[in-house]
Amino acid sequence: MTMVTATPPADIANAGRPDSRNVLLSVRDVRKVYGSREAVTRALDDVSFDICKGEFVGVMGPSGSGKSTLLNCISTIDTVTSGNIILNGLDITQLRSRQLSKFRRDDLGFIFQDANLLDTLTGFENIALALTIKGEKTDAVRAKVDRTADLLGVADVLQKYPRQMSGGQRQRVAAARAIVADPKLVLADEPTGALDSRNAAVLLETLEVLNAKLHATIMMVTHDAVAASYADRILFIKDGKLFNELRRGDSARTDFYQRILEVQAFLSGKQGDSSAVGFVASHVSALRK
Amino acid sequence: MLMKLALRNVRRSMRDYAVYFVTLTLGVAVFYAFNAIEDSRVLFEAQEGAANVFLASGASIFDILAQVMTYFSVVVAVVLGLLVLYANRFVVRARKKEFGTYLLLGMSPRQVSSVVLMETLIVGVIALVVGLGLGFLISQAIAFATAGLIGVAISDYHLLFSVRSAQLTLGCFALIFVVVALFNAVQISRCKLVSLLSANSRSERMPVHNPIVCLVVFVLSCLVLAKAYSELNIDGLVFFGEHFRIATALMLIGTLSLFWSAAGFFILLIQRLRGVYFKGLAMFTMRQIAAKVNTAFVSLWAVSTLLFLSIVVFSTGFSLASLFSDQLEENTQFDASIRASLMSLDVSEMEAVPADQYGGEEEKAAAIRESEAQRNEIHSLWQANGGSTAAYMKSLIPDWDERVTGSAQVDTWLANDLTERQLVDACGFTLAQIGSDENSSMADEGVQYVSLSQFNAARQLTGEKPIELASNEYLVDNTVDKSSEYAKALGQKGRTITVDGHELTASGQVVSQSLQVSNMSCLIAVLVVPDELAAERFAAGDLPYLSELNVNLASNSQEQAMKDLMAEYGKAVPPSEELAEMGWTYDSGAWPVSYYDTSEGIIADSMGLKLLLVYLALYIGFVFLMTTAAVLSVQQLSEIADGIPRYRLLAQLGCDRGMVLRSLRAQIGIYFVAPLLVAGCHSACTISLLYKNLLSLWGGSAAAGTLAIGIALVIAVYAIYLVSTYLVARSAVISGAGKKLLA
Repeated sequence: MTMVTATPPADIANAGRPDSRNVLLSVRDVRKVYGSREAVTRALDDVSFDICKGEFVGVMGPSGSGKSTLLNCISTIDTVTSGNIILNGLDITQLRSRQLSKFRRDDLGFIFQDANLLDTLTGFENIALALTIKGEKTDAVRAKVDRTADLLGVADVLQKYPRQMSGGQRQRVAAARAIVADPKLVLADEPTGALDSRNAAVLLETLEVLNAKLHATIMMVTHDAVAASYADRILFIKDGKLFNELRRGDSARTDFYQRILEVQAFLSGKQGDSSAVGFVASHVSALRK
Repeated sequence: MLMKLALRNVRRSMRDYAVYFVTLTLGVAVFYAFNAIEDSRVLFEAQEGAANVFLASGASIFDILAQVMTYFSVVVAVVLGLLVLYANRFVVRARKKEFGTYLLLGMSPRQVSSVVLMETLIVGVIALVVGLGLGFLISQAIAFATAGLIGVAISDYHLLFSVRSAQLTLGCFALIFVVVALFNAVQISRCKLVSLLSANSRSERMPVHNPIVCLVVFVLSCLVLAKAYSELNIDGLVFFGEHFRIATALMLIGTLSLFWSAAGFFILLIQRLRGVYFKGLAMFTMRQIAAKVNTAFVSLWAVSTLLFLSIVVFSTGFSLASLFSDQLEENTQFDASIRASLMSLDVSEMEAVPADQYGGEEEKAAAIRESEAQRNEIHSLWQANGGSTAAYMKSLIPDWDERVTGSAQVDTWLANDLTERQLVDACGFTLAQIGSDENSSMADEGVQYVSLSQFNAARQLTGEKPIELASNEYLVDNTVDKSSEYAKALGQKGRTITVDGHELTASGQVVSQSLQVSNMSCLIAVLVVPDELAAERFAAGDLPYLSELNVNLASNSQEQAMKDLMAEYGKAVPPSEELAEMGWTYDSGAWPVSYYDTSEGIIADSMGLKLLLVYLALYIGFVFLMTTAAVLSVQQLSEIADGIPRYRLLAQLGCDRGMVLRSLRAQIGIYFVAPLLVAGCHSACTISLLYKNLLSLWGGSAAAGTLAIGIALVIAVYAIYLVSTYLVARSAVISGAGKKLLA
């Protein structure tokens, strides 16, 4: 039985700081405030945590909890109101616009909810684009794309256009695009949101492989407990605050999944939102298939 | 309430309306300005030197201009109407979802239609006002341009506003609005709510052509175009026969398949170039253009064809105009030329004609007898006056000397024993090289010559020094550019030819001396020979082919003076009843006045023609150009609006502003330039042929400068649209992707 705390434990502000030498991403006291003086919305309220190299971290929370804002701030698509985000020793909240673009193309990889492939480009070109905009040597592009595509099992759809692929293939091509340039951190925003359960499982296994074999550091935002159960560690966000943290440790994925459900149920219960139960049940059956 | 919504919508979707607005404004401006030309006549007709404005027929240049402009305005109005409809269609399409929301909120289709109608009206009224203002300014500029073109100084300038043209413009565009409004209403009322709401304007259909097929088709279409060019070369734009029709068809087919296959072909090519293909956003740019070209190849084809037409109209219109005025000075060295054409009395010619054309052997014999009698009568009259037309005229018109200050008679004879063809061959030229036609009847006529004394008299009348020739020498007079090389060869010192039984040697002199008033240079290597040749022929009872009497007049008003002079002449040689009814004041069938030309009349005709050509070229060329540029622009903008998510993604992936905008520039640039390039190739071929075969006949060298002006104008108009399209697209992409992302 997982310990579910109503208030964050004292050490959660520095969650995941077992080995400070290995820290890749460090989020410190990040605050994001929307609106003017009269109507202030605190999307993020003093959030702090660390992610180590090679970790696969899930971020969960109900809609409106601020998890997407957090992702946008880390990906420099949005700016923080106060606080610091340090990636590999570089404080990205201090970067200027030109440096931000360079940061995004050099250090980050993105996987979006709806794949977000360019429909005018072939699969190969979609993946290669991540390399060419980085200024990769032209001789190396083809080999790198082919190797990544092999790894993700999309080698046979490289010459197809996105509309000629299945949803799962699209999402795996997007995953290939995200990691082909060897980014420091892969950000995944609800990557299974638009997939059926079978394709979702394939994609999540792919992410696991990336994490395990290529030692890619992945931060995945999701509200799906099944998806989250593939991660090493899960951060729960509620009302802009870091609320809880779960570590998978050596437990099996199904156990981990149960623990996630408990936290989720607790979170929902506290909100007085019972519909979340039904939502969870449907995913349990999906998992057992 | 609806009005408020409409006003707010216009403000909000300013960008959607931008191209629609620009097109409408320019259309109104051009339409007004060119229809207002007629009313600028008040600036000229009362001016010093205003004679230039009146044609030989007495009509004002502006009457003819107004007529032609009105005629072409109908065509222009139709083109503009279609263009406005096209631009409007995109405005509606881009906002389908918005209209769907109105319907969902409970507005009736009628109300939605009227909101759209009001929006169209608001934009239309603003465009009309701005366009009329712009047109007003343009029409002032045109008035000054007119002054420059016809060489009349405006001493009493005042601003002109043409009410007539403004009414015409208002009426025409009101009609276009009505059509647009109806079109919109129908389009909205016929739409199903679900399709409006789910209207994902993003293009779903994206045809991809097989690259190998593209390669083959591309090569084939290049071959087809090459064949078209060579077919065009056969007829040389002189005849519009079968070859011309084949060339036209091939050109149309070749261009269409070229655009169909171009994208696939270039992708195949670029993919082989790793250095280009794997460079930054090159792949993205290439695929974007390819997707556009593949879906819109038909309209690219139409655009390219229209561009081709407008380039040709623009540049050749200007060139022709400058040609006519360049030769003007050379061909108006006398005040007037009185002509007697005697070739119709050539009996030997008549005998060659089959009898049935006269209606039988008897009739033919009668006609020949009549001609014979007429010839003899003219010959004896001429002989009685010592071969001088002026002397005869003087005997008929008592105050001839008061009216005419000087005269020079030029008789052109055709040699009996040497044809044009023989002489050209002997000099090592072909008839085609001197601008003549192998099958022309003139080729087998005798070589033209004039007597030295008459040549020198004409020269002296223009203020030039006479030229001396030894006996048995000849010189060559040539005023046509195309035959100048031939004239040099013919006049080469020492060349010996035999004309009418006399052996003559070239003196080595080749001159360019106009011998009559005419609207076009017409002396193709005419020989100037000793007087005895003509004298012998005349003594033998022959008549020259053409006899011209060049005169200088006492009065400054040449047209009027000649009219009066001919009225005097007509007292002695009255016209037949039939001729009198047609307006003749003398018998044009009698010797020595068949008709006459004055320099004043020639200048006015030429000015009128020049104005007409320049303005038509500007008008038609500009409207075509504007149409094509606007279509390209609308296509680009709607495509880019649909593709905003792609740019947002690029920004998220880490492309900075510079990379994205470079790609955007490349896309718009290539999409604009590709049809211009194709049209440019077609035009280069067509215009070079025009030069080679037509314009050079009248002196092509001067036209090169005006050709450049025409091309510069085309590029300028095109560039305006390209730049404004880029600017609108740029702001759409930057704001669409989020300012933070593309800061």
